[in-house]
Amino acid sequence: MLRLLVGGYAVAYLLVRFAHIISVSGMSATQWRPVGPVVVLAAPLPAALVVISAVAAVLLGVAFVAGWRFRVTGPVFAVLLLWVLSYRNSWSMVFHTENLLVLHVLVLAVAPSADALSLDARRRGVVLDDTPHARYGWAIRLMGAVTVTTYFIAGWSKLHNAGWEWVTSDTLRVYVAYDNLRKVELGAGYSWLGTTLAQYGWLFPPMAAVSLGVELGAPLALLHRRIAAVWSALSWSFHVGVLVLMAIMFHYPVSGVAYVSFFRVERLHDRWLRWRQPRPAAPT
Amino acid sequence: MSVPGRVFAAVFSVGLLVAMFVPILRDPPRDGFPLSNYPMFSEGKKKARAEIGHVVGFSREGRHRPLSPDILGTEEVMQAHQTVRVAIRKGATAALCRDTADRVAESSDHGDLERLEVRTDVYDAIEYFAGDKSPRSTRVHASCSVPEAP
Repeated sequence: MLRLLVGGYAVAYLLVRFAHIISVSGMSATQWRPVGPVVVLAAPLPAALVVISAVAAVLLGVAFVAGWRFRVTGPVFAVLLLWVLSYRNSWSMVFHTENLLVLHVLVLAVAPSADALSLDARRRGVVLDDTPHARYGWAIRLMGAVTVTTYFIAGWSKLHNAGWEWVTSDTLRVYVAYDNLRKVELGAGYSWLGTTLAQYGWLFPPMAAVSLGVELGAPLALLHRRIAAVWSALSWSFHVGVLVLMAIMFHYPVSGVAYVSFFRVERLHDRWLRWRQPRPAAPT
Repeated sequence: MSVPGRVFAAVFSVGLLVAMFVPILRDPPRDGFPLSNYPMFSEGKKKARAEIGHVVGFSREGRHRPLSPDILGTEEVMQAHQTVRVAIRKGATAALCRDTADRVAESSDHGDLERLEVRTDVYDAIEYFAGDKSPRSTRVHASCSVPEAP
């Protein structure tokens, strides 16, 4: 089920962002600053290769979601997704909205994620078994650990760069005003609410404390399923707050899919099966 | 779970988590993809001074407005911001102005514009939204005319 949700999200993301992903090939070479595996390139690729790699990523993503020949298509899709998104981040601007998605897909790709609810399972005639097993559990726990690590590092960077003044000073207020001003002066949409609230400085230190608490407290989510659920809700609210105040969309967390490894999402399949079962006729 | 399977799971898990910490173990910490130190909005920023590099279009009637990211060749506002910043840093603002003017000439939404400026405006971000939208200072890096529509 995790493969269906995360993989499905990745494919949908590639399709929705397809035009933007391939549009980077039209950018000036002066902006070229490769990141990730793309550092092996000395210069930008021809536009045709950018399009081909993006199309191949979508097709392999479909195979990933369907669980078709997963031992091959799973890892190849993960590497291709990493490549395509690294390439799009190689133009002097690293977006931080895709890191977690890529890392989750990498984990699922090397795990036996297609042993159920897949074309491979159907071909082998696998009978569904809900018994927890370490063979599958390690990847789920690793996805959770990867998730909280990204948040913890973001919190650590704030303390490292600004110290506790990040919470106690006007820093968050200035960032909200600055980011919205940048959007206005670049002719883009901005947050009316964020710019209005920026006039009330006392609001921001408490918001900064909560934000930093969510980030630095993320590892607590690994202790217990209920703590994970509470942290996921807080973290999701944090991203909704960023969207509302700064018009910055961290799509993967806001969609909720970033947190699915903390929940028993296989129950969704059980519910679906129950819903599909014919109901007994009402007594007459 | 087989022994090789356990070994693989352990090595992969530890390796990935250690790799995730590498960006913050470097001196200075380093941003990248997909491994990052997530530096966005992490610097201490007590002053509201906002230095904005952008392309501004001027109409025949003397009005002016900033050009949107799509006319700078991207749909992402942050990418547009970087496009202007990199051009300023690398002294390529004349080329950016020319390329943008060509796109403006082809755009039906920008038919009123006759001249562009690549510029850096400095604002007070808090005062800006309190009503004082005038830049504290302005530096024009390049200026160009919009060619006649094809």
